[in-house]
Order: sequence, then structure tokens, then C-alpha cells
Amino acid sequence: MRDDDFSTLGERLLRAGIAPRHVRRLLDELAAHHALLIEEETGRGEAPDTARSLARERLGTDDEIVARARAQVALRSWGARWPLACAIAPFLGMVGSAVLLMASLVLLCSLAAAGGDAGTWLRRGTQFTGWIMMYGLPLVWVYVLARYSVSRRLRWGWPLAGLILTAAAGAGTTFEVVWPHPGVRGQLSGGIGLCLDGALIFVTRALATLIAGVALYALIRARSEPRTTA
Amino acid sequence: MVTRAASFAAEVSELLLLRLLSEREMYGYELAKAVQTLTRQRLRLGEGLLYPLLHALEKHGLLRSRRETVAGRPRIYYRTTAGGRRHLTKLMAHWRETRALVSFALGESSHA
Repeated sequence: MRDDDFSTLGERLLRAGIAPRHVRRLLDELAAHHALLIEEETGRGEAPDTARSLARERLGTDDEIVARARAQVALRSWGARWPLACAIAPFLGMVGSAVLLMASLVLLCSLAAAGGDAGTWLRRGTQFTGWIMMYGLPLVWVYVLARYSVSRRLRWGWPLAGLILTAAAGAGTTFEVVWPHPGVRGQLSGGIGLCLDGALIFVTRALATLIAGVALYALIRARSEPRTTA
Repeated sequence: MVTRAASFAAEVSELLLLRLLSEREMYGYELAKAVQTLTRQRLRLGEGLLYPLLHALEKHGLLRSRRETVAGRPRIYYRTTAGGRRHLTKLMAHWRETRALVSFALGESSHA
């Protein structure tokens, strides 16, 4: 059980860019050390409250601990070290996963086509995967970005740029399938780009993803706010 | 100036921690006690300030750790790795060189 004495310190460490896994471990170790110091001070005959504050004093002030942790660059999250990555990584993730899904579909359809006519399951599965590629992936990646940004307490600038890029990539994702008929070859096509004819659809999709991303960010942030005790 | 002083203090702490942990594995509280004993209670650092340094040393591969739960509390034991021992040798050489240089600059021929 984590000591209440360290809840504000944890928040300060996160805001200083320290990676959450290091913050959790630091707090665990500090709380355990604090408990041992309290026992030591109590053993010397100090009253419980005095022992507690003496033990806390011996650990060092929050300012000192935060400064010492901040000085160790290795403890910072990559989002704090390279904030630009927060703008680019989800965009690349979105594009990469779309390409991967498309490649898997092409492979699956080629294998199925070699065995004869495409079955109903393949048609439905392909349509569903295409739908996921166009509408699901952008949401997944803005969720990942929102969660990462909140857990690392990143400033909003670069994550917002990442959100806009990911929403744009999602809105520009296209997917089309033509099933083979007698005399017609089947076609599977997908891409990422902006077509001026469909600008309204592009803007609508991008805005929807943006709104969803901002809403997810706000929701995750509200849930992760440190609880203040009276 | 403050940064240099802080960096000097960090280097001394690093040297002491690597030296102690090259002898045997220890957890934070034990290590803080050992630092006090080794420095005859003269070096009084905030005991909590050890942990960020321990984590960074581990991240750089100079220490390794293992977790244990004792009386319901997590306890993380640290120990110097082979790389940590090589780094310790370099730090000690650097420290001796610095000490000799400062002694020379202060006009001392030998150390107390």
C-alpha cells in the first residue's frame, strides 16, 4: 500500500517527465524506506507523529527528489525526451497497421481465390476488415496517443499535432473491393491520400476522429487526476 | 556553478554506491546505512535521493536488481554488474587523479 505522503511527489515526478514505471518503483521504494525510518525513529523513543515527520525529512524534500530524478535523463519517458515523436509515432503506427491489414487481406484473398470462388465468410471478413481499416484504426491510434499523453503528463502541443495527423491519415484511408464475377477479375484496393472530390467526406471523417480523440483524452485525464484529500 | 557542484556530488554518490554494491547486494535502506558508516556519518544525503541514481545506474547496465517482498513490503536488492565493476575502476582512477591534482594545486605533498 502506497503511503499518502508520496501521492503529490508521484504527480510531480510524472510532470517532470519521469517514465511511469520508474515513478511507481520510486514511490514503492520510498514508501518502504520511509516505513523503516519510522520504525527506527520510533525505536529511539520518538512519538509516532514526530517519527513520521523525522523519517520524511531524512528521505529528502520533494524538490530534492524531483531534481535528482530529473537530472537522470535515462529515467525520462521517450515522450518527454523526444516530444516530436508523439506527433509522428501514432501517424506512422496508423499507416503501418493499415498497410499490414491490407497485406494480410491480399494474401488471404489470393489464397482463397486459388481455391475457387470466395465464400461468404471471406466476403464478410474482407468488408469488415476494410471497415476496421478506415474507421477503427484511427480510433485505436488516437486512443493509444491519448492514453500515453495523459499517463506521461505531456504538454498538449505535440500530442495535438499527433492527433491531427492521425485523424487526417485515418480520414484519407480508402478501401475498395470488387468481387470476381464471370468475366470480371476481383480487385482489392486501398490507399491513403486526399481526393478533392471527396473533400467533404474527408473533413467529416477527420473531424469525427479529432472529436473522439479529444473526448478520449479528456475522459482518460479526468479519470487519472490525483484525488485530493481534505 | 550549482550544476557543477551537483554533478560532483552525483559522481561521488555514484562512486560510493558502485563500490558498496560491488561487495554485496543491498536494498536502499541498507545502502543508505552503509554510506553513512563508510563516510563516518559525515556525508549526510537525503536517503531518498539514492533511488533515482540507483535506477539510472541500472538502466545503464551498471547495476542489476531483484525484487523481494518482506513483511508485505517490496524490497529491491541491487548489485553491481561486470560492466559496473569496470566503470567503478574508471571512476576510482578518475577520483585519485582529481584528488592528486587538487592536492598539488593546494600545495600539499601528501594526504592526511
